Amino acid sequence: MAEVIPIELTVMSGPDDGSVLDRVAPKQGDAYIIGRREDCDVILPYDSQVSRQHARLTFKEGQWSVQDMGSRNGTYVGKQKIDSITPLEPGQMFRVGRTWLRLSPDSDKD
Amino acid sequence: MESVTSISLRDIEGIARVESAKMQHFYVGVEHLFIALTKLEGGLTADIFEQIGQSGRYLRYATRELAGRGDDRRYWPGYRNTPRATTVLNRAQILINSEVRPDERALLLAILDEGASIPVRVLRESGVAIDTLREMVRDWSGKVRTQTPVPPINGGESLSDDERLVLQQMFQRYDEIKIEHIFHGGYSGTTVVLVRPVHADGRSDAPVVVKMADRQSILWEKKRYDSYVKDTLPPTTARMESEPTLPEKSPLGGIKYTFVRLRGEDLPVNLREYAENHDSESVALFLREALYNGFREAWWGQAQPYRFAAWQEYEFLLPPALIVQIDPGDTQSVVGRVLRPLEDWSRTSALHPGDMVELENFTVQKAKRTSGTLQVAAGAAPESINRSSQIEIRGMDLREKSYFRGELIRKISGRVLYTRDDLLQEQVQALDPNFNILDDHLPYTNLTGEKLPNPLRRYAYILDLRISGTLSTIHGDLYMDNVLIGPGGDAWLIDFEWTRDGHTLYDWAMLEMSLLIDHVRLSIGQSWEEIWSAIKLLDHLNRTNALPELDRSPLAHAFSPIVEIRGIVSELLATDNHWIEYQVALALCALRVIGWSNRPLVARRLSFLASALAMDAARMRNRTGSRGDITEVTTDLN
Repeated sequence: MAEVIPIELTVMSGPDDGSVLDRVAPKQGDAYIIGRREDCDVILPYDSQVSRQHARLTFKEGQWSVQDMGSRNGTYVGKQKIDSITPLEPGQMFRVGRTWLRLSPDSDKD
Repeated sequence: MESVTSISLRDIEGIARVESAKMQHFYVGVEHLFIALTKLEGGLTADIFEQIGQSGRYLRYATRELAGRGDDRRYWPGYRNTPRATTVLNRAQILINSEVRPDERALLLAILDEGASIPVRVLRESGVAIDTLREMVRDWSGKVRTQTPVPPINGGESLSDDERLVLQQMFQRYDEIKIEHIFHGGYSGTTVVLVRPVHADGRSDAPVVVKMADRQSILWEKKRYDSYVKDTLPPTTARMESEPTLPEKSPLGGIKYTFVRLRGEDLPVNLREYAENHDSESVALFLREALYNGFREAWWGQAQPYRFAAWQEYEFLLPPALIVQIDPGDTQSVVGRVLRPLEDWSRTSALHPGDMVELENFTVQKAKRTSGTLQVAAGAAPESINRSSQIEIRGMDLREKSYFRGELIRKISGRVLYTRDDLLQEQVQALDPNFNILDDHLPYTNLTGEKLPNPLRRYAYILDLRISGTLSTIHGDLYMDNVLIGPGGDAWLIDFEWTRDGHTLYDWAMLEMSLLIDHVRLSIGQSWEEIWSAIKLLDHLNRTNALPELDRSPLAHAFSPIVEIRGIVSELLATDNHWIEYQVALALCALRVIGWSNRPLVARRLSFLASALAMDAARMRNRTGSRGDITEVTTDLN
């Protein structure tokens, strides 16, 4: 079972480049969902290459991970397209659709 | 003379907005501000980047690529600043208020201080130390730098003005540029020269090989080199140690290959020239010892099992699947057939000239601004499947709207002008006007008396074959002109534009075909009878892995490098003795070569029959059903 802890993401490209997204807990379950749909935890409304539910972020045993949710355009960690659950280090960048996001360097503290 | 540009922060923001609109972003981010700075001619940014050897054009290209183009919908009126751009602009304003001049300096400092924007990531990836750059920006004194005189070029009279400009910029710190040698031109408008740069005091540096081509190819090659080649080369071969040279206002760029061991008077030659002056056995020995053994460990030897449909690896070698004409005045809203990349329309004869088509989600491969043509295909990554489904789009106004390589085009519609069948038929008709292009067979029989298939009628079937092969790093365009032989007999490869992970045997099939048309060809005339005598030897080689023992003819002698290649390939086959994997590759490489219009008639005729023979060899194996290493299927991704 993944733990539920607060998360901080920074948008690294696109019209919201530089904005910081803080979330205290997922809206549902134990994963933060990124996507275009209103009920996602992190909504990216200006990127048409982001799927309605695009990727999920979980925290388990001290480690953040990202997983693609069958999105049309894929999820990338660095330059690598991921096809399974992939660990994410604090400060590391990943991309959903056209949008680069960065997990805040201190997202594993608290 | 003041070279300080006094352009205001507000004006730079204006240029940034124009850049943003071009990329269909409609917001102003740090990337647009940065691109605006690199465009200020004679400014601080341009000057400093020149000093640290970074091309403004390259940085713009890389920044645009990382930012990506937006879609055409707008979510808000006007232009808004991103949060990061707001931070940067506020910081720049604070610097300006505390007397930092000119505004350009304040903005560049603010961008570097912020530290996480797209352009700063691009700079870091290009190896720029941000702290050092910041110091240079802070201390830049705005002095006019003494104009470097343009070094004269000695020799190389056949070079064009654009090519000269590239060389003069590349070697601008030298006093003279000596052209030692111009290698045979390739097939694609690329020029490769051996240059010896000479200092003012008369000392000359080691010669370097310079390739000049359109600038997108040059940029592309540098990226391929960095990701596939840099860390896998044997110690004595070509390296790309500097950034590409891309003169502003020129359609061309250049890249420099340096060689570790190149000293003194012994100069490299390419394999085509080498083969002209050496006996065939030395060529064979070179292929095995220097080329294969030199690169095997890092490249072909690292093969992984790979099952693929032939078209995934080889369709890109053929002419475009379609040539489509865009007519901006065509207001008829006829709904055309929707074509998406990688579907089977590119391998069936379902489309005809005059059909309306709507192209969805194709990726730009090349934009030719002067002729208004755009080459699009499946994707942007270097793997060959991404170059499948190639379409040439004509009638674009590329002065209004520019496209960059790798850009996705959501939707565009037009009318089919030619299909691949039309284009191939035209190439074959040029070989012999009497040839019956509709016949299923050629009027030639193989050694067991069966008629060879007509490649025009057979190639679609070959493209759809499924092959059990292997995957490894490959050069991706290995023909005789791209293999240089150094003074120590080392193999130096150049031209890494298509280096990638691909079918292991492709490099060898391409090299065999190149040896056939540029080396074996020299021993025969252009009549079909003489060409047929060469094909018969090839048929014998297919069946026995050797030439007829008693044949001492010059033609048989010329075949020895190809016999050596077959020996190498036998080690690389996915399954021992299952040559079909290679014959399919050969058949499609041969079909590619028929279109090389800069080769003599005999070469193209030879490749046409070689394609037929390889298709026949692939069919024979299939019919005898040897352990089912190949199956006939229609393939469609998904």
